[in-house]
Amino acid sequence: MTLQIHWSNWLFWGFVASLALVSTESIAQGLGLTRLNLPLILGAALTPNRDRARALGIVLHIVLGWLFSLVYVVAMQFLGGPTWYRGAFIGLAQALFICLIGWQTLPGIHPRMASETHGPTSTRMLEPPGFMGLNYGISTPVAVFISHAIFGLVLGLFYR
Amino acid sequence: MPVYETDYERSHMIPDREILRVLECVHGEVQLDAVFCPAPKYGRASTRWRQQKALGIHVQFVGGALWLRSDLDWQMKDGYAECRMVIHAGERRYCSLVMMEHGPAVLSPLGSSSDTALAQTVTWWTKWSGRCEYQGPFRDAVLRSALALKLLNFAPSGAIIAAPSTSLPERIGGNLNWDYRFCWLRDASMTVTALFGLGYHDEAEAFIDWLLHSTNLTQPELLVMYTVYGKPLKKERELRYWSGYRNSRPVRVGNEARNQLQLDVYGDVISAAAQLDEYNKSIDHASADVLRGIGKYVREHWTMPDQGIWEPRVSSQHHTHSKLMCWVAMNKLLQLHDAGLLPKVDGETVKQVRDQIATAIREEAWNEEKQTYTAVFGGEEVDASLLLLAKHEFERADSERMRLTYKRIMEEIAAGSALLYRYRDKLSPGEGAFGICSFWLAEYLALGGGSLAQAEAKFRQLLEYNNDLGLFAEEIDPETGAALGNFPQGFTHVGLINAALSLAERRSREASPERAA
Repeated sequence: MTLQIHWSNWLFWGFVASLALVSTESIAQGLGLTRLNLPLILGAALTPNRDRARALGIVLHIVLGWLFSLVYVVAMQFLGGPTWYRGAFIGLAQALFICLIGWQTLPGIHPRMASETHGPTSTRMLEPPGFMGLNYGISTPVAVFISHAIFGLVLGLFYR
Repeated sequence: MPVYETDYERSHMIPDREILRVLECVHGEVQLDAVFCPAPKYGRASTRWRQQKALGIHVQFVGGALWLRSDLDWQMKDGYAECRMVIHAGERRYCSLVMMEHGPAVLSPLGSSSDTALAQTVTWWTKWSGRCEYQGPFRDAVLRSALALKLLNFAPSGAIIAAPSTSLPERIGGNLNWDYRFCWLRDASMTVTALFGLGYHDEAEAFIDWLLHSTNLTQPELLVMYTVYGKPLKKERELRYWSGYRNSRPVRVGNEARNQLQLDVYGDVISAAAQLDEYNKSIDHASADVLRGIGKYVREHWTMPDQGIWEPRVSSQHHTHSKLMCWVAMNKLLQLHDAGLLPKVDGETVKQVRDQIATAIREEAWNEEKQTYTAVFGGEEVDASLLLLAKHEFERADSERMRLTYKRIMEEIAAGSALLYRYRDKLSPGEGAFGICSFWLAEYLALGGGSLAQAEAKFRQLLEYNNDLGLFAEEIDPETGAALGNFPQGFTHVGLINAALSLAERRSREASPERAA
């Protein structure tokens, strides 16, 4: 099987999917479903100033989503070509990974996130997500699954 | 709540909302009993409790979360946590409660970080207090009032709320229980006078900015009150499942006075903004537009009856105080126009309207038979707001009419030698004396209605009604001296500060007569 990537399509639809991901997360937060704020969490790794962290984090989140969409494109190729359900499936798989493993390991690698074992310190004060991200609200896993399914769905539907 | 210098805030991650308690046993031992029993959404939100290892107790509810971090021995119970322990001399214990509505919380480490936070907070408040320019004989009371106002200030928007409580009753066991956790535009002018007068220019300007720009959803029409974000209030509702303070039902959330027409608020807003000129501050184009719009509204509506300053939930009347504030609006608008700060205003028209209002007040609010100004046009009764005719320079404090009105006020609504009811009325029998009205009385005397000694004596008497922290509620029970109504009440403290400033001004005038001349 030959791996063939349409770079201009990926650049465009990867960007759109990334925007859709960030927007869905933002809507979920705005509706009070979750306190998960990935831009803040990402930006806080770079600066303790929360206003600046939010701004930097949005850019970082979009760029990371954009780059990560390449993994989706490759994965869809291996699964038989891009379709909406394959995209959504990969999104759900990634969400499951984030909820089960990603959130648990984040305090270990984030320079400003408090550890559940040791508590906050003078430099690590950000609330950790906890198992399945439940510290940020009981609907957090739902928000993560939906936003990532939409991310994959956009790529599956439109990337060709 | 810990507070830090701006530079520190920018370079450190700190909680948005935190209550920090540092307990220190300095001698012997102390039995400590503590209960943590949050009741979000007025007790109606279901909460999910978890003890999270080193992170503390996590309480989650729809719309937010709380983290209680502490080195006390908390025991989790059903829907609450409690702590019973003994602390000994030399021990220090810490309690940090953080609340977060949006986004992940920032959790405070305890111990030396808490001590640092406490030290920074003390330094911040000491510096802030040091900016108070009032140096008169009542400095402690004035500074305490300034601190109360600062604590009622919502820093992100500049808004100042009336009081941080709802439904503390004006009559114990009665139904005069209102929600004051909002910003009344009425308080604007006097609050700005107090802040500028004490030297807190940043706070005064932020408040004016909030007044002019956060109310833009409804301009040029102004509502009586807004939330700290400048939004109109939601409908008032009663929490019927709450018994209220000493069985004073109902407990209310929201305030139905939001829909009333109270024309005085227009004068208050323009008068507040006009103080920018008095302190040599500028008025930007957007603010000038707002002021012109409000001025136009007053010109077109001042003849209407309204609910007035006391917000009775009855039909509208022509309240003298409301007309006075419409006169103030026109007078201040003219002052800004004459100073060149408000171009594009038809000065001649404004002057005409101002004079028409003045004539209406002089003719229709004066009761020849009773020899007094009255609370409403064509009425017979007085209210405490008539004392403001002198404060707003509509009448000289020592004019014949004001002296006669003062005499009538003392005969009809005085509650002892220093206290004053706002009015005597069937609407609210049994309510207490009104805090700010009592300070208006002292201020009226300071402005020339009496001697300096009389004014200072009244003021001193009033100060005896504060509580052990130097704070006042909205009202005072004249018989017991107990606080009534919402607490602490910004309006009362504004009255205290302004009376103290007028006393200082009078004292200074009398000390150097050439200045007065």
